[in-house]
Amino acid sequence: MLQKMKRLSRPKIRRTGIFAIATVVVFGVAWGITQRADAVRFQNRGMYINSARGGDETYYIISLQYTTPDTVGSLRLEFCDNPIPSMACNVPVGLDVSNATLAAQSGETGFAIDAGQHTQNLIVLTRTPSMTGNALSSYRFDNMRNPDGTHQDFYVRMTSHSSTDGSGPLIDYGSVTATTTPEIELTTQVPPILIFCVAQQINDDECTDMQGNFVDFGELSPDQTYTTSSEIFARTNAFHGYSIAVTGTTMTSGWKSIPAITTPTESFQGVGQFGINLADNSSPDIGAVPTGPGTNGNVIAPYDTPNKFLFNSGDIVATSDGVTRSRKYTASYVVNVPVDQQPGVYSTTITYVCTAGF
Amino acid sequence: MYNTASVNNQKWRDMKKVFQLVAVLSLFVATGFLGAHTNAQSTGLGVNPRKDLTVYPGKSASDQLYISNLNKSLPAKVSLNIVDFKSSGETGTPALQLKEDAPQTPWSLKPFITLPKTVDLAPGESKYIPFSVRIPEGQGAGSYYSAIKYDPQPGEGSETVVISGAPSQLLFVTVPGKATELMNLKKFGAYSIKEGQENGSFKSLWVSKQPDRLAYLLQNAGNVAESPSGSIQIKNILGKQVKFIKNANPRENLALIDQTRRFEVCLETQTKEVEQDGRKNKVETCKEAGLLPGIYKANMSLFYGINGSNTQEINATATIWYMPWWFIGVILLILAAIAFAIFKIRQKLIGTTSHKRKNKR
Repeated sequence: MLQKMKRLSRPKIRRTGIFAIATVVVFGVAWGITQRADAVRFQNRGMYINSARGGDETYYIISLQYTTPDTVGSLRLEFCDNPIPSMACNVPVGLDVSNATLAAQSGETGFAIDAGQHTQNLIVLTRTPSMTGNALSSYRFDNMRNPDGTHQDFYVRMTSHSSTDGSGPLIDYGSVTATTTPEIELTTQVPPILIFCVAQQINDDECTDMQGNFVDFGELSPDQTYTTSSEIFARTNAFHGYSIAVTGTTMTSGWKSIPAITTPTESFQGVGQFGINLADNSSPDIGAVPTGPGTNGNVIAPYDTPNKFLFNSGDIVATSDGVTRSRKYTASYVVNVPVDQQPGVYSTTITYVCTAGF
Repeated sequence: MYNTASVNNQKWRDMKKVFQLVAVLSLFVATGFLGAHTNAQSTGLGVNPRKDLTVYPGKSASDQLYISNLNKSLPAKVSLNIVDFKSSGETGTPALQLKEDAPQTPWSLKPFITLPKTVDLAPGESKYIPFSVRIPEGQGAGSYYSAIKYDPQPGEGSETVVISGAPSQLLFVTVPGKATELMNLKKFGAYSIKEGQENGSFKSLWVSKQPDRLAYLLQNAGNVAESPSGSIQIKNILGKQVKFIKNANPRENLALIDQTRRFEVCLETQTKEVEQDGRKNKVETCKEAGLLPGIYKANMSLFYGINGSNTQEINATATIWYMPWWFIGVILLILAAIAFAIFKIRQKLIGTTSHKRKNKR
């Protein structure tokens, strides 16, 4: 190999080097030119809908910034149910832009609606082709009908072209999105609902038949574990389910208190403990697994561990991840006191707060 | 004397009994405690779980809250409290700020909302409670939210220890305009999660089963609770589309301000019938999309932006390797067969060459 190299003359090596560098430069420039020719996204694009209620007739303001300085003769605005240009464009249900008029324009101006291409979901703005600047442009369209329904997402696929009819190679492209949202939601019908109740015993799925509005630990002494239980019921037709948090304090009597268990711990006689769980326990024998057809409602760890108790105010004890039918949870309470526990009437307030998800 | 002594003895016995009783009572007080008697009004309430409003700066919106006393035999007095909330982890579980000294969140609705403090409900009665939200002129665009907690007040004669149930309602208000909207994509890919678990894991390589869902993590660094929309295209190694997910956020989940939220989307959905307590229940779950072994690219285009603000776009690609064990086995067998064939051919060639050399010699 070295011998071969030695056989090459120096000018030959130089010529080969120059040729290689020239080839790289030429290909690089060509690649750069082709890359610049590619379309890029519009900048600062957005849409304002004056009334976003589903089915409303209103005005839209579409704003954008032309990214590529080029001769633009048309701006194509296609209203679809998805933003991806390679996918079929389906008209969002209820949307109608066929009566739209171009009421105002700023930035890149001189446009008019191309009547020949105006459809239920397509507006082509046309003008005598001219060079674009980098100012923010906005176009206001009157007589636009929103898609039906609330929380209906829809998209405007936007492309700019040198041609005056929205055809041919595109210069810039991009999508804007909007959602129909009720501006003021007047409650005229039964909306999603969250049913929630807490009692010692709940006998039905409607929270109408509840028994025993108190639970009693009885007299406490150090040589015994005291237990009691209550029931929690929840159901919802809300899309995002619910969560149940437990709040309150440990048992107190004036300045005296029984310590709350802050990490999952077994019940020990003679040790100051106050804790709860929502599990089916064997030691002590109390509690039950959740019942009812709302099987997507579950107790959250660590409150689901049998024979381990704790109490931290604000903890989430159960959640569901969507529409949840009836679900009944059994909350078990455990209290132990040490020999030197100060006498007194110990009490607490436990509130279960049920909140929808988002 | 005897009688007197007898009387004295009797008195002493009586006093002894009294002393004994006092001693027993003292012991009882010293070692025992009066029971923690838990008492509460049995509360059953029905409320709207969530309400979304759009209010322009300088304007107000009036609406109604729905509340129903489900208890058919007892009246209920319910106090309405506004509680701020944050996100709790990657999911849509709110963390209510229930401590009395909890600082007000920057997105709190407390300064803007007017509603009654208490509501009285007869047994079984439902009511619509009027309330209003007023956004002052000049208030910045964005999302404002709090929860309304319905606290049933204990009835007369109830004990000091109460167990109660308080449902709460989320209230979101969007103030349109130019808001600060910024979502950062943290992760995107095929996602594995066990039923009932809060969090799972992102996986690129799938061997024991094929993926049934995709997920992405978005960090909300703006001042708008965002619900992105968009689509996901899945292509095979040849660039052919094998799956198109039209709605990348089918549950319309929200990423709260400051939250890193996980959004999940099924490749395919199925409705399962689950029997529980003798009742049949329909549950919608993700199912495998029938992918063939291979390498796939998932291309996601997400959009977000409130009305009047710029539309923001997030594009991401994830690679999914679906290589089931049987497929790896088949590949290994094929490779072994090729290696064996090469070995055999080589042996034959070597044999032939050495034979020729021997013949030449």
